[in-house]
Amino acid sequence: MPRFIFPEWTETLKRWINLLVLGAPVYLVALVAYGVTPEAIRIGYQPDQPVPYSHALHAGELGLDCRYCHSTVERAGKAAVPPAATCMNCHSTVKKDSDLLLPVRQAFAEDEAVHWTRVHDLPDYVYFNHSAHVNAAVGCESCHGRIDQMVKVYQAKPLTMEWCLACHRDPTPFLRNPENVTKMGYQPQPGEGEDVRKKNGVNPPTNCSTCHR
Amino acid sequence: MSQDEELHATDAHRDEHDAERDDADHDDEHGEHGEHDAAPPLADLPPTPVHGYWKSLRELEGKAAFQVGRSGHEFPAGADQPARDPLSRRNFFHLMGASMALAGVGACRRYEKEEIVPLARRPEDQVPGMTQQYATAYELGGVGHALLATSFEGRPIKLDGNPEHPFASGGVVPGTERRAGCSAFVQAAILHLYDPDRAQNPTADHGTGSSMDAFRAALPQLRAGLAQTAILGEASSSPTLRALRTRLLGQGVRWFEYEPLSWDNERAGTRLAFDRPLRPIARLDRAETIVALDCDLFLEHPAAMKYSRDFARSRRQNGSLGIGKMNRLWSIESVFTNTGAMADHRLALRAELALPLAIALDARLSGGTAPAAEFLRELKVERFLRFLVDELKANHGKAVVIAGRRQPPEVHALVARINQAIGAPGATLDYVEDPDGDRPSHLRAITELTRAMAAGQVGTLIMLGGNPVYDAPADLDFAAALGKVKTSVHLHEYRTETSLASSWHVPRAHFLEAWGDVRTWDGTIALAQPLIAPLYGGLSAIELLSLLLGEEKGGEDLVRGVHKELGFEASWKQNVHDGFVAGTELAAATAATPVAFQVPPLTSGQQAGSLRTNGDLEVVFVQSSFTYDGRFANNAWLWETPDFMTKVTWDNYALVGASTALGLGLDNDTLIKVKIGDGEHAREVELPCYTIPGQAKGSIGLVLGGGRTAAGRVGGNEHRRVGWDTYKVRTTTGWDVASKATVTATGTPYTLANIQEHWDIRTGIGGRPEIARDATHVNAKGLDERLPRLIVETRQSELNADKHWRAEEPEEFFNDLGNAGNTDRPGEGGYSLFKEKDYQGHRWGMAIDLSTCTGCNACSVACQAENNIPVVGRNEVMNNREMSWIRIDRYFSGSIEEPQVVHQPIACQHCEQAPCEQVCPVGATTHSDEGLNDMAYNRCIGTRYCANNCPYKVRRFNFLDWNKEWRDARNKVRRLLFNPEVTVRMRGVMEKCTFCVQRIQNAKIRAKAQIRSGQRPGSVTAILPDGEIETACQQACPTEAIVFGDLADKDSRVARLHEDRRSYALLPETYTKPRNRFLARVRNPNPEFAAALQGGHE
Repeated sequence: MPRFIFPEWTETLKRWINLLVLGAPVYLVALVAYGVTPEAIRIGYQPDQPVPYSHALHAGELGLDCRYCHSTVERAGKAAVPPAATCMNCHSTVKKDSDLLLPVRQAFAEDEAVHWTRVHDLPDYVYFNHSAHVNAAVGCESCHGRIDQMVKVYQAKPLTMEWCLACHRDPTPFLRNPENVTKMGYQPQPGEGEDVRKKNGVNPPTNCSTCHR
Repeated sequence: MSQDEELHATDAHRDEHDAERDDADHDDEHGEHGEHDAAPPLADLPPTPVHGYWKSLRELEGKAAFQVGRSGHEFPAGADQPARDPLSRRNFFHLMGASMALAGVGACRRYEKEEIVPLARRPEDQVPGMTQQYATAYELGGVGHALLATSFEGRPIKLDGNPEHPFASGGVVPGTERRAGCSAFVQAAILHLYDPDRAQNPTADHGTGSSMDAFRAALPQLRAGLAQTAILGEASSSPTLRALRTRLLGQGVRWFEYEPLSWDNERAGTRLAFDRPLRPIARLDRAETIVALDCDLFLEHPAAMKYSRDFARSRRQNGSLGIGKMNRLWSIESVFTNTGAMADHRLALRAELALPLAIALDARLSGGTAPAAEFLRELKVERFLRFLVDELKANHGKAVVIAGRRQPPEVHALVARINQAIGAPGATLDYVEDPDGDRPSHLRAITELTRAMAAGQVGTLIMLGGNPVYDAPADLDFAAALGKVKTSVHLHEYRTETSLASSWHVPRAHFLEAWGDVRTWDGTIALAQPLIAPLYGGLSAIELLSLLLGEEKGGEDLVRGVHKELGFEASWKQNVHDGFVAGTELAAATAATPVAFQVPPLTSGQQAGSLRTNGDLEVVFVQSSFTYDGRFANNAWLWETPDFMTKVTWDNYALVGASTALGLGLDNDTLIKVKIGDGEHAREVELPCYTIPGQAKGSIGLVLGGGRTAAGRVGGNEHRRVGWDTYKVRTTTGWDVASKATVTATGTPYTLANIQEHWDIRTGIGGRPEIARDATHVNAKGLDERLPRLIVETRQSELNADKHWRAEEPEEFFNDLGNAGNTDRPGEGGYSLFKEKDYQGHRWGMAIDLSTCTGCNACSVACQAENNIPVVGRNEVMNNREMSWIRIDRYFSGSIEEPQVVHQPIACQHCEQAPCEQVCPVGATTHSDEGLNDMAYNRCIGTRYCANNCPYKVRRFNFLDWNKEWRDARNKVRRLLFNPEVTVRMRGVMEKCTFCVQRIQNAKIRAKAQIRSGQRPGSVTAILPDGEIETACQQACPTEAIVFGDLADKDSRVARLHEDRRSYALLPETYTKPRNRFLARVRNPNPEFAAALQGGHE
């Protein structure tokens, strides 16, 4: 019986197969590693909401201040999604028959809650406090991005510990005059951050217990 | 002679009791030798003081059981094994294989999708994520307590004392802060609200499921039979309930009230003494000599919280907190209580001997004849009484005597006369009119009711709370009598023994679910408002009564209606807000002068000496620190909080004195039989023995409240019981104190889940390997080296005489300026291998005053509620896995017969040079800029190096997933109790006291936000006002023994206390620089008595 002889072209393959065997795991690991980073998973997270509320329309085009709805942001840890009653302040007259607003009207009529889906979700062991940041004059935009351009809200920043710490270590670039906290697309003047930091005594701690308890 | 030899010597001594007595045994001169030839009296232990401090008798005896391997170190052998089903190596790989295969998959998704569910209309003042506080109240044993409930988005999560309430706050001294402590029971009461075992539906016909509609359908029938109806209520001070009662009495209903533990004897006693029942309320803030006659002032007394506070305030030495001269506490008691532990002089005496003692005291003070009782001639008693009488005479108008619940009315009457003789009324003692003067005693009420039931005279029995089938006197046989009642209705939160024996059981609303009103011990009306709608649609007692009366009124209407009648309508809103109606305290009794009364002749036991023979022993029934009288049996927090003195968890037991145990051959951790009475009336109970030093000779304490058969999954059911039912030997004749008891050893081993030797910080000392490595037991050398530093004690006289006395010598090793080597801070002395930190802003610190800590456990349970600390159960406690962040070490010193006690609460000391931080491989525990020893749970990988390196043994490891069962659907309600500001820890992470960092952070954030937005003046870098941040333990502490604050603020209370000469740090030689400092225990013995005692022992 004649011996089987590998054809000559397999010699070329042999050279490449080494690369494949060595390279594939490296490639796979790198791919998975990137795939599980917060940047890859979280940025751009854009869940569906029961009501297609457009921040681009309300905050952008109409120019409502963030605090009209998120009214507790200056005094509480939670910025608070507004109760249906807040929506009905306008929508009892504006677009009062819109089908899209049905869940809100229903909630208001039946005293039931609208079930919104959380977009900016921190782990349960992280204690973030809105009032601490807003009163220290960090703009909404710094963490939430250009909300005024989002028709459907998505997560714009990684919200990772590294990202938080970067600002806690040097908050100056993110501070602005307190009256501009809710302004979108605001460009602080040169030196504005330092002034505000000095005036407001902003000195963010970087202890574990600052956020974890 | 070592302790071991001493015990054996005493042992031998007993065997030949006829032989000559040792000289040291001078106390027994008047013993009962030769009187009982057949049964020799029990031996006495020599009063020789034992060297230093000790935690248990077992330790003193040096028994093999007290070994490092079992308990001395924080991780005993096998502590890291899973609970029941140990993982074999094979299983381990099996499981690991799966986790390896799935590793990373878990990370490839976002967190669980979360919803935001805003209210459709947000109530005014409600801010999502912020807590709100409401005043409310609850009642225990007919005594009201004013509370402050913290609610988070509509669910109550924490209870504390109401600091506004005039009686609860103890704000009696002008200018002192109004703060209210509370008891461990109050702290734990909230757990019942979310208990998944609470009854959720009525049952009909002895436990068959039914519905509220069915019960309502049966109401007309109940209404029709009102004339043949008896109502058995728990004791209640509620004005609303009283108004309804009056209306029901008009319809022919008979009304009975029953409590297994009550202060009826005091009423009866004052009735004897004054011809009408009065309520004595002592003013401990004014008293310089306080005598507790078989009375636990600080835990059991209805005014315990106020007494604790007043006592502590006048006790404190620091000028900034104290209000004058230090008082002196004398305690005469049979069981070792915390009052005895706080006492400057304590006399252990059988409870039945309090009567002859009171007669003798009365005789000495008002010149009568002393009774002929043998024990009064014993040197110990005679001397105690002599010095006590002298002091009472010298302190006329500045002394007060208080008798306890167990003592018969005659003792209370005698105490009233004694108080008159020493000028107490008007000065240190107020008498107020009893609000319910005609009420028969609880014991009489239950006796009459049971007889009527047995005779078939009760057609319908309605029970408002209570659990008489379990806790009524055993000789009445309430269960059998209940069987003769045609219709019985039981209103209770749980489906108890009584519910199962009744034809109807109706779920009762928790006090946080219902409107109500109560009166605190001084009579001030406190209002209870609901914080949450009834989770299971239960009714409150007043709502049920209202239904019986044929009206459908809600709780609010009922309470408000009655308050309108009482004339409080105008201030209703204010009263609900404040939680009390100002100015409603009971009227002071006028012209309270004692009249002549008969004192019964002494029994043979009361005439005898302090040594007793078996068969003539006394049994006293003791309130449980776990379940009160059994009602809190389904409360896991309370079961797992170690008893104040015994440090046992999850059990009840017989308390036996050391000499009694020795004489009877009883051993710790074995079962014994206690028989009361003889012949056919004898009743017997078998339960574990706990040998406690300092218990009166010949007196056995039986702890009540265990052995429930229908409490719930925690407290016992038909399959599994917790503790032992001691009610079955409690009869109408031996209700509080029973005589003629016989105790026999069974020899059956039974291990109590005792934590007293867990987390022992006296072992494992760095740099002293000969101590650390001694695996047999704590050796004398180790104790010598170590103990004087853990507990520092001094006397008032010493403090006064030596103005330079300091608890901590300035030339301590780490303060030694000559100790060159501190390169970080030259000239400051001491040095560490690690870099010293500089602190700029806040420097949080704590001070704990050992002079006023009564060891009441309120801090420990408050911490549990605040910080979501799990319970682990009895088996895991025995594995050293208890999770409580605060442990209260209880040390004995002195002789076994007459020990002294110091309580020392220990939580994380927040060392500036923390040893735990240096060994964490992942940086999960680090130091904050404010000096907190932070713990990041999400970083912890569970190496436990930190706990190993902690010299104070305060770190607790989650060996298992303790919160697992709360994820079950049926237990979901329990999750509502979690404090949302604190992470619920998972398995495999370390945890410990954080100084309530969530409260610190939130207070700081709030202050800064207010300052920056201009709502509050000041600067964000300034210090916060002292007292703005209170830790949970501090808030709960009834004696203000725990003070937390900012050391950077030189005027803060904590900073001043750290500078106090009584302040000292634990284990200074380890150079950990703890932020928590203790204040030395100051005792204030009578100088002449102390001198005499000194002479007697030497």
